[in-house]
Amino acid sequence: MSSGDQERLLEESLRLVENESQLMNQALKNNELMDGLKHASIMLGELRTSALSPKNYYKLFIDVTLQLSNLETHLNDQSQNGINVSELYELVQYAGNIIPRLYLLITVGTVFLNCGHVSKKQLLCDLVEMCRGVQQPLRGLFLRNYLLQHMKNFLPDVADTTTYDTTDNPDTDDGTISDAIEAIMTNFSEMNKLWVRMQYQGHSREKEKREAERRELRILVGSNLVTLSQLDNMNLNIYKEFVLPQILEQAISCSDPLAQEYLMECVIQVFPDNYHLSTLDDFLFACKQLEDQVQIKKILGLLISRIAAYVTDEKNDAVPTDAHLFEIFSKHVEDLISTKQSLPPDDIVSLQGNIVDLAIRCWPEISEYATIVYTSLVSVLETLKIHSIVYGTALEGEHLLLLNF
Amino acid sequence: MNLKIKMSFFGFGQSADIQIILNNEDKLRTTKVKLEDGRIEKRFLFYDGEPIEGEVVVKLKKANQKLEHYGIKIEFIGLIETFYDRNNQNEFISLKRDLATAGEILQQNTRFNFSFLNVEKPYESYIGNNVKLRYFLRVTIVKKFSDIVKELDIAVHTLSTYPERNTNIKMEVGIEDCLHIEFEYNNSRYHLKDVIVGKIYFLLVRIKIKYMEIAIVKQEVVGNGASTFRENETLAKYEIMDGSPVKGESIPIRLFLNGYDLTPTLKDVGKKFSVKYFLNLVLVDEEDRRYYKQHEITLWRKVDEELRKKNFTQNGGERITDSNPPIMETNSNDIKNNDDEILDDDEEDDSENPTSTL
Repeated sequence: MSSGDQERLLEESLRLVENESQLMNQALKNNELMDGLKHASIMLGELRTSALSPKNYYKLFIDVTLQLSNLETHLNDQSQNGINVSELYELVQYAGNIIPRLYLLITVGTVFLNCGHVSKKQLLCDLVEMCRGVQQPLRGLFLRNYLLQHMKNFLPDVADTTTYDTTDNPDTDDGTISDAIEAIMTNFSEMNKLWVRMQYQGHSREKEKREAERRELRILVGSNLVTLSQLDNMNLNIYKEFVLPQILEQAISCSDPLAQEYLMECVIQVFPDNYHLSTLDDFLFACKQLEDQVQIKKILGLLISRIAAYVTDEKNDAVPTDAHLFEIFSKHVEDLISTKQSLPPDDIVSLQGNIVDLAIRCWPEISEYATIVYTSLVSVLETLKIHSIVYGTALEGEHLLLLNF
Repeated sequence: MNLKIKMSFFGFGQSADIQIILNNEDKLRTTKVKLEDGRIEKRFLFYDGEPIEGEVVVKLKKANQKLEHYGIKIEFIGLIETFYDRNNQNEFISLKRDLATAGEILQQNTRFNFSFLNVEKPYESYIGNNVKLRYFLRVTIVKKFSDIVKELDIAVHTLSTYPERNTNIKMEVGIEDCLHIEFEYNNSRYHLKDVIVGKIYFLLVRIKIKYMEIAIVKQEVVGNGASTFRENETLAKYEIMDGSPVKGESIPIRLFLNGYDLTPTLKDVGKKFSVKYFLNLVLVDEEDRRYYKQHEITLWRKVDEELRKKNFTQNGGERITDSNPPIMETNSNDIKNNDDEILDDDEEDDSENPTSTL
C-alpha cells in the first residue's frame, strides 16, 4: 500500500474516532451510559484494522486511548455515585468483537480496581488472561500495552508475608508483589511472543522492513521490564530468584536475535547495577545460549561499562574485587568464544577489549589482568590461524582500539 | 362482514367492551415478551399450578341501553399454533367457566368474578419463527350475529432445578495434518443467566486463522414426519480470537448468556415442536474458509431463590415441582473424538453455511 493510501486511511479513521468520541462524550454528559458505551465501542472498532502500518496504528491508538480516558474519568466519577461497577464489568463483555470488548474491559477493570471492591490479584489475573484472545501481533501488542499502562497503578506492590491469615477471603485478597510480578511476567512473555511472531508474517522479501517495524515497537515489550524494575518491593533476592530467570528463559526460548539482543540490553538498562553485580554468572551464562546473530559484544560492552562505572563510583560501597569480577568475566568470555564457533574474529577481539577495559577501569594497578587477556587473545588468534591482520578491516580496527587502552 | 363495518361506522357496532382484570394486578409478576413483529410487550407471568383469578367487566357503551346475549363465558386456553398451517391449532388446555346464562345486561358496568384454581401449565410460552405456544384468557359474549370476544395473553415460564455438578465437556477435534484443537466448556447445561466458560487449546495449526468466534444457534423443529419444518437461527456471534495462534496457545472463552434473547431448551413440546440450542465454534482462515464444530447445550430456566421461598410458604411448605426432571449425565469427562472432524457437511440448510477446505 502506498504511503498516500496509508495517510488517507489513517485520516479516515481519526475522523471517525473524533466523531464517535464526541457522541460518546455527549451521551456521558447526558448520563446515557449505554449510549456512551456504544459509541466507545464503535470508536474502538477502528483499532480492528489490519491496513495501517505500525506507525500509523500507533497514532490511531494514541487518539483512541486519549478518548477512552474520558470514559474512564466519567466512570470513576459515577462509581462514587454508586453505579454498579461489577455489573458494568459483565456488561462490557457483551460486545461481540473482541478488540472493543477487551479495551472496554480493561477500562472498566481499572475503575473497578479504583473503587476497591474487588481483589486486585484476581482482577489483574483475569485481564491478563482474557487478553490471550488477541493473537494478531500488532493489535495484541497495543492491547497489552494498554493493559500494562492501566494495571501499573494497581499492582499489589506489598511485601510477601510469611504469616497467613486464616480468615483469608479470596475475594478481598489483593495479593502481594509475587502476584504483581506474575501478572507482569505473563504480560511480558505474551507481548514478547507477539513481537517475535511479527517477524514471520507476510512476505519473506519484506524481512528487513519488518525488522525495522519491529524495532519501532520494541519499547512496548520493554516497558514491562521497566514496570517490574519500578516496583517498590522489588529486591535483589526476588530479582535473582524469580524475575531474572524468567526473563532469561523467555529471551533464550524465543530464539529471535532481534528480541534477544533487545531484551538483554533492556535488562542491563532498567535494573540497578548492584543487581547485575550479584547475578553476573546467570546473565553471562544466558549470553552463551543466544542466537549466533546476536551482537554479544554490544551486550557485554554495555554490561561491562555499567559495572565498571558502578564499582568505581565512590558513592557505592562495592569493593572492586568483590565477586571476583575479573575471573567471572574472563571465564565467561573465554567460554563464549570457544562455544560460539560463528563468532567473527573482530568480535572476539572486541570482547577481549571489553575485559581489558574493565580491568583498567577497576583495577588500574593490577597490570597482570591485562597480560592475562592479551595472552588469551593471542592463543585465540593462533587457534583461528590468524597470523596477520589486514589494515582497514574490522579486525584491525578492534585491535587498534584494544591496544589504545 | 360488510354489515359489521357499516354498523360500527354508524355507531351501532359492538355495544359493549370487555375488560379482564386479574386479582392484585399490581402485585403480579410480569415479564417482557418479544412478539412476532418484534415489538416487546409486558405480560403477567405465571407458573405451573398457580391459580388465575380475577374479574370480567362488561361495559356498555351507552347508558340506558341493554345488551342481549345468549350467555357469557370465560376460558383459559393453552394453544400451539403452527404458522404454516393456521388451521391446525392444538389446544392442550381448555378450561371453561360460565359467567352468565342467556339474558340481558342492563347495568352499564357489570362485573363477574372468575377463578381457575391449580391450573396446569405444562409448557413454556414460546413465540418462534414457525410456531407459537400461548396461554390466554378468552371472554365471549355470545350474540345472535357476531360474538363479542376479548382475549388476554399471559406468559408462562417453566422452572427447573439441577444439581450443581461438574460436567466439563472436553473434546479434541480437527482436520488431519492441518488443524487440531481441543475445546473445553465448563458445562453442557446452562441456565438462561449463566456464563459459558471455556478454553480452546491449539494442538496443531497449519492454516492461517483470521479469527475465531462462537455462535449461539437456535434450532426450531416444527411438525413431524414429512411435514417437518426445521430452521436454524444464529442468535449471537461472539468473537473470541483475533489473529492466528501458534501451537500451544490457549484462548479463553467467557460468554454471558444473559445478554441474548434465549428460551429454555424445549423438547418435543406437545408432540408438535422442539427448540434446541447449539454452540457453534467457527474458525475462519485467511482465505475466508470456515471450519466449525457444533455442540448442543441444554438451556433451562432457573428458579430464583426469592421465588422458591415465596412458593415454599404459599404452597404450605411444598417444594416447587421441577418441570424437567434432571437428565442423567451421559457425558464422560473426557470425550476423545478424533473422528469427529470439523467438517463442512452441515446437515442444516443454514444460509451462512460454512465452507471448508476438506
